[in-house]
Amino acid sequence: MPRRDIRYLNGHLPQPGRYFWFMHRLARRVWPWFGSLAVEGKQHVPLTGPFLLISNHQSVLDPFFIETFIDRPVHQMAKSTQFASPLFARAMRGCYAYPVRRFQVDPTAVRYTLRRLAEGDPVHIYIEGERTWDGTLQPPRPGTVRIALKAGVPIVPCAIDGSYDVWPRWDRAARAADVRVAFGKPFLLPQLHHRTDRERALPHAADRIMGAIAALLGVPPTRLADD
Amino acid sequence: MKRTERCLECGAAFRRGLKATIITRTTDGREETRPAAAWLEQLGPVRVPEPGPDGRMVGPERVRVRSTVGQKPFYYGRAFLGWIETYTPTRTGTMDVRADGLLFLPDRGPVEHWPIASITGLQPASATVQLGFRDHMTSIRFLEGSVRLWTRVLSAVLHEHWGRQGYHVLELQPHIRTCRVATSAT
Repeated sequence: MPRRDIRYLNGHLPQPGRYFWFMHRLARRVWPWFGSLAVEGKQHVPLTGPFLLISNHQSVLDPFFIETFIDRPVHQMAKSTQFASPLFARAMRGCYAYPVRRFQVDPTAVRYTLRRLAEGDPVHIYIEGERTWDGTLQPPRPGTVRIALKAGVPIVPCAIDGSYDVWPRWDRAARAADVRVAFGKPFLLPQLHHRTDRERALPHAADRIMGAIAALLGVPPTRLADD
Repeated sequence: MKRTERCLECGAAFRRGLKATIITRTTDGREETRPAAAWLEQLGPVRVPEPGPDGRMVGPERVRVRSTVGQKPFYYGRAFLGWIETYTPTRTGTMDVRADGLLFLPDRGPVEHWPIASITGLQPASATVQLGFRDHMTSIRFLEGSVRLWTRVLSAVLHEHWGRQGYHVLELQPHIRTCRVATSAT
């Protein structure tokens, strides 16, 4: 039996070790030297069981700022090109990030997401799909909403504010600034098994998710966009 | 953004200020600080240049290019996490955008023309533009040029290409999705 044939792997992830917990606590320990890191609504984050954490995306440092307040590993979808560097790939998987391929529908990434949720783990997806260029909330990506309609787990909306001031994507370095992370009240979307039902429910589900995130940010919500 | 950059059109110097502000200093010495979003609003949408006599719209810009050649499984322990791409070696050269596609002149090797019709997706990153093709993806890193300008121009060219064939572009990423433009009966 080939050692690395994916059909024969039992699929157990390594337990979080020292590296994970060091990275997990890094933001709370280091960032106060540069600015405040405030959290609101932490009581809304389920302590056990699966949930889909859906947030806006302002900066490359968002995973550190957000997930430091969730006291267990959160599996994060990241674009596959970020795993191109072997060193970076190892660093990211040690924090339970997993790749999603762009320019194609990636059923592997969708299946992995649903599998993690089925096994009781939380998954974090950025609904905007990429970092904002100008600090404003961008339209949601339909693919994320489709996963939410398929998963049937609580959605925890999350807003991060201030990380754009720390490291906007058009600059090469971080600066000191105050960051706020707010978790909203979890809600359930209907679990829809048929594609036509999901497509019909897509706009309303997207509005619900974006409305929750926008309310936490104190800005008007954005809607699914035509490009 | 490098420490201080200069606008090629008006000569104003600009650099990052506190937080995500941008400080500009015009050639007559006036200095102004505003958030990036405020500058974007003032500047308005990116103007898509008209093609020149040689058909060139943007460029030439110095770029670094690499393309995917395949993909491999990615694991953590015994768990299969997904697929990641494998790449060709990076090539440097110059690139420009024309109405019918992109022209890449590598420092070594033959000139390559990438027709607009062969592009299946367009996605900007911070310093790169990623183009999807039928069987591979190409990442273009700009050594000096503006990702936003290139994205806007390529987006406009793609919209025009599909519009000529009677389609409206709904989205460009993860892949180009179109719908037929309704034609009125006369």
